[in-house]
Amino acid sequence: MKLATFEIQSERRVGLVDPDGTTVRPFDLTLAESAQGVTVLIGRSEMPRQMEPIPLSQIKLCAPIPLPSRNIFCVGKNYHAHAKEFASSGFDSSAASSVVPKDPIIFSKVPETVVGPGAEVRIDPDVSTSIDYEAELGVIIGKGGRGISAKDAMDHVWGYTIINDVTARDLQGKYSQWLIGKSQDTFCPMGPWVVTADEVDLGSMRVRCAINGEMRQDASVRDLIFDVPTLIETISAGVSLKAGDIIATGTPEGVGIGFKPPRYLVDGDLMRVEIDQIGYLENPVRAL
Amino acid sequence: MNNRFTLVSDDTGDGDPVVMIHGLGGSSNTFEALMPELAAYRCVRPDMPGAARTGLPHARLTLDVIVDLVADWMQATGLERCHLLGHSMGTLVCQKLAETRPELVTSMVLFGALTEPPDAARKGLLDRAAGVRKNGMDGVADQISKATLAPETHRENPVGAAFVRESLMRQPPEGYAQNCEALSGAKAAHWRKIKAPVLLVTGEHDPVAPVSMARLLNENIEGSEIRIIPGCGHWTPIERPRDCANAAREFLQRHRI
Repeated sequence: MKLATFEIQSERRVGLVDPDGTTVRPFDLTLAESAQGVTVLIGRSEMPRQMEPIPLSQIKLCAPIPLPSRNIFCVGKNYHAHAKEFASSGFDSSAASSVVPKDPIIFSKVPETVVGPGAEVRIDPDVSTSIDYEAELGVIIGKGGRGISAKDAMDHVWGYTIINDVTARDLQGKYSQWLIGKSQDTFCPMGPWVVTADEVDLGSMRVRCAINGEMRQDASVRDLIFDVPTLIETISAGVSLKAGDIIATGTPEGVGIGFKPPRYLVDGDLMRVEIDQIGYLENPVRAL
Repeated sequence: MNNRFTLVSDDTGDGDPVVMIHGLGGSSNTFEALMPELAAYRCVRPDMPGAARTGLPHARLTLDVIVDLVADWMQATGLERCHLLGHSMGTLVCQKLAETRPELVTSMVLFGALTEPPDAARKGLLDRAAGVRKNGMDGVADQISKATLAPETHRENPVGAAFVRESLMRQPPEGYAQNCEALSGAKAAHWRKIKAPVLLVTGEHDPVAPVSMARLLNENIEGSEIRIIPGCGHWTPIERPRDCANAAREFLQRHRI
């Protein structure tokens, strides 16, 4: 199932997108329930009643989880080729330890960074002059837990979405903890919807990112250094995961910092992240 | 409305706008060789949904979905009234735009114009979609360049033939496959509703959209003109760029916005 959070006539709804991607059927939920986004559907034995389908052209898609209940877990340097390009960029405050990390690098973004499809990502030249895109597969946890083993981890995954882990490289380099560089306002585009885990085959999934139509990133999810079960095992070892938690699994090679000279985002750029079996997420860049 | 879909495009020159809609396996470069002759116009050449630099939209492609995307994109780009140039499958998009949004279209030049795919071709397009999803673009690139260009082009203009092969080979397979499916399901426009002046330019040896198709359109679109280019196949703007550019320029001069 493709499950979307959207607005129609300024009211937020949660709905089921048809397989052709042309209409969405709102679920019969209260406005308060719908305000939570698709996480309101987690753990239900059956889906709520659906209303009449609405053409996608008549709605505004929102981030599927418009305001996560806590920080988004993110993973640094989780594709081999990207680990190399980032370690050699001069902005990697973790580079001293090793190019390819021995254990996952886990950091987070604050919930308020989340914006939906089509929303502007704002860059503030007074704060940062080196802002970069990062196409990533987002994992949505459906069943919480502590001490989840890698073997059981996939039973805890509810679905997948697309995340663009927008990053201020200068701030990421300046502060050895990455939170500020990763948590600037509007720096977490998410969408267009969540695809439930039963419809996803991670083995045949590619992550791509194009800037103004120019393909910059294109990699298979199979190339993750630490795969989804390992990430869940690592985080949940002592941090209890909760239903609705989001893990952004890391970005492949081809970010702006990897070019010589670097190709940072500028006003008017259009970022498009595509992940097979999910769809695409487009966001324009706007300078303040 | 944040779901607006962007067509990556080349937008050059000043003057009356001319929007150029390429066909299956094409890109904005389908029209590149015509550009010097059309320097007096603002030429806007999108890569169509699923082709070259433009990705796929949320909706699975059909001809109607494509026409809506193009119309929305034109509005967002400030193209309120323009000339349309189309090639092959792009001529179907042009015809539907002229039929359903007559206010947008001043005139149309249609290269290798299609009425609609014959039944045998519809099945073939679905097979081709399945084929590229499984095997990628390389095989199709060879097949199309061999089958759709005039023998004369292969002989006299091998760079043109190489261009067509390259244009096909670089397409994203899923985008190409969805365009094959969209074309496979496409129905002819209501020609009687097309009131804009139309110039049809078709290669004498076009095996995909043969001269008979152009003649049928010519008979059914009131006031349309037709020009047959000898020794030319389906990729008119590539095989005979000078003839195409001259015909377009002369026609556009007679039909100002």
